[in-house]
Amino acid sequence: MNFAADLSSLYKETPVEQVWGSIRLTKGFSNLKQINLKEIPLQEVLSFLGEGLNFLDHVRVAKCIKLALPDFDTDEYFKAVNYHHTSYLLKSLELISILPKSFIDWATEKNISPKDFRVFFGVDLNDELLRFIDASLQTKPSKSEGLLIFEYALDLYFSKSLDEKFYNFKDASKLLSALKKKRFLKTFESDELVESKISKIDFGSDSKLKTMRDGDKRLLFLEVKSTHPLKLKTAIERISQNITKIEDAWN
Amino acid sequence: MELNLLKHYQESFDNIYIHPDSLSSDVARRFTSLFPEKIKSYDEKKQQKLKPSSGIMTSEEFNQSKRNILIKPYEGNFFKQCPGNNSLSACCNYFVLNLGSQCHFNCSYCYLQTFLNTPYLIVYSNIEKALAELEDVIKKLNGKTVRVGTGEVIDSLGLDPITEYSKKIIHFLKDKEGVTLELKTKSDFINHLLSEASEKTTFSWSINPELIIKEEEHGTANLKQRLEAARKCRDAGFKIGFHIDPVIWHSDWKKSYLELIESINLNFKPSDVPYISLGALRIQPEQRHMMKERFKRDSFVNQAEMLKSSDGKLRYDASLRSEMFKFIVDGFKSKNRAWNIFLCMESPETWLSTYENYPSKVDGLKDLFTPRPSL
Ligand code: SF4
Repeated sequence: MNFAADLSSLYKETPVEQVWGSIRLTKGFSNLKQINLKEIPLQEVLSFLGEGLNFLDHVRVAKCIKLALPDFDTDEYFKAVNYHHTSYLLKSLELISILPKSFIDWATEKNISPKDFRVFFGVDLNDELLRFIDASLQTKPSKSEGLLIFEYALDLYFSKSLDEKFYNFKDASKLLSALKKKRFLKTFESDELVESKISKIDFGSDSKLKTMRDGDKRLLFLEVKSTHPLKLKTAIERISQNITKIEDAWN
Repeated sequence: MELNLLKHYQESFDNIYIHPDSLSSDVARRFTSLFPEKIKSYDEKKQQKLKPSSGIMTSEEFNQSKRNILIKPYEGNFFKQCPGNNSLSACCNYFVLNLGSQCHFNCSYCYLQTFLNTPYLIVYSNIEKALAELEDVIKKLNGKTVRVGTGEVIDSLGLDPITEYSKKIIHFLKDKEGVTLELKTKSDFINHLLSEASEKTTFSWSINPELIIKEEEHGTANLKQRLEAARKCRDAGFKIGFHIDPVIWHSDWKKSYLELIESINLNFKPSDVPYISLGALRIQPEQRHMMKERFKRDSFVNQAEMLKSSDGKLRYDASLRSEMFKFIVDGFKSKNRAWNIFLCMESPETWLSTYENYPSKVDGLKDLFTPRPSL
């Protein structure tokens, strides 16, 4: 397992420390009580740590031990804390050594698992992409927002469409919707075209016909307000009279 | 076996493992005599270790699983209803008989990428059990006809020159009523079957414009080879079919699919090809990561605008699907009204916007969609 890379960005500056033998296992994890682990066997240490730590925390711990004890079997460590899928793990660990500190902090906070790293698998994370990842994390995305931001941005990058403007957003949801709009450009453009054609059809002031996207389908959404059943009848008749126009707009 | 074919297989596989229970099977003997240098000793414990520990395989594990063959008996039921047969898709009466799993071809959109979780290309050795099940099915059908396909989780003909399973099924069905066989492939491995002509067997090719084959269907026969193989099968007396599936959007899609229609129309008559099915690109959501990792990030498939549909799969926008289907159906009909084309794995809405009718009401397709007894 590759722990040779500099993982110094993994260490968080927080007041609580835990010690196992002469090895400082963690710096931080304020959710855990300070405990003297000097006399406790590794297996017990691991089972203790396993309860409170997430994947990135475990990477830190394993790294600390490995630095102090070069023969330490990190595969066994991860198995002991229930990360069995060593192939995903290996790739994630390699990525951890490349990704910026802002990503590591975000991933720790959001409980990112080895599988979540799939979005980066097989990608040569060059300076430009690392710069984007760092910039996008300044928008403070949630876990799901962040993973989609990375996914859409990588797709756009490889189709040469990740414009500079995407590096300068301040708000995660706005960044995500801008990326999505660009990533699904044809779908957005055709929705907008249909919407604009439909909005030009006159249904009277009591009725509104709108389009909405629901996954792979575009839906027609009709709202009719009426103060009397007879008025409702007139409104519906007017819509029926316009059905050919609606069909034309739709296609 | 032809020399070029032997070479093709030799380059495709690294190791062949034979389960002790399959050692005396015909298929194991055939593999052993053709590729003696690739046969490796089977060790249950070692084999278990190779199994991915959980969930979806990584890209490396998946790539490896295409190169290692395991011959073993199948313990479950061979015969299954087509997975498209659910309330969300308007599906034809189709049943699948899996004689193995995994495939040594390498299509970028292949659903096996997240469907399989075994580190091997498996070949089941007990085809006799499959034939016994087929016998039962025929009895239950009571004279009615269903189609059976062997190409659900493996290409029907990908390994057939080695296994010779299709020959066995064709022989078995010769004097039986009720079941017709469909051999679905992206290969041109048909020479070993040409002398087995049978009205009950349809050879079908999943086809696409050459540009798509080149970009997305790695290791498969090119369009010319597939059409040539189809021509040979027709001339030998087999029925043939085409699946234009998955239809893949690209900026020149109209030109590409028109050329495909031209080629088919030039080489075949509607009476040669009872049905042509159409299906648009569809993938499981978790599949997209594997596809991006294993293939070019800017490929047609990896850059496709895929949106979640009601069955959970990712598909093109429904109006785009209808537009593409309508274009292809109209393209065929403009050449000859007699072409019969149906939509595979599609929702009733897409049928409506393509045909302005439901499948069971479309002329020429009614019989295909009339319900059969469940088995
Ligand atoms: S031929 Fe079929 S089974 Fe084989 S890789 Fe292509 S899609 Fe998958």
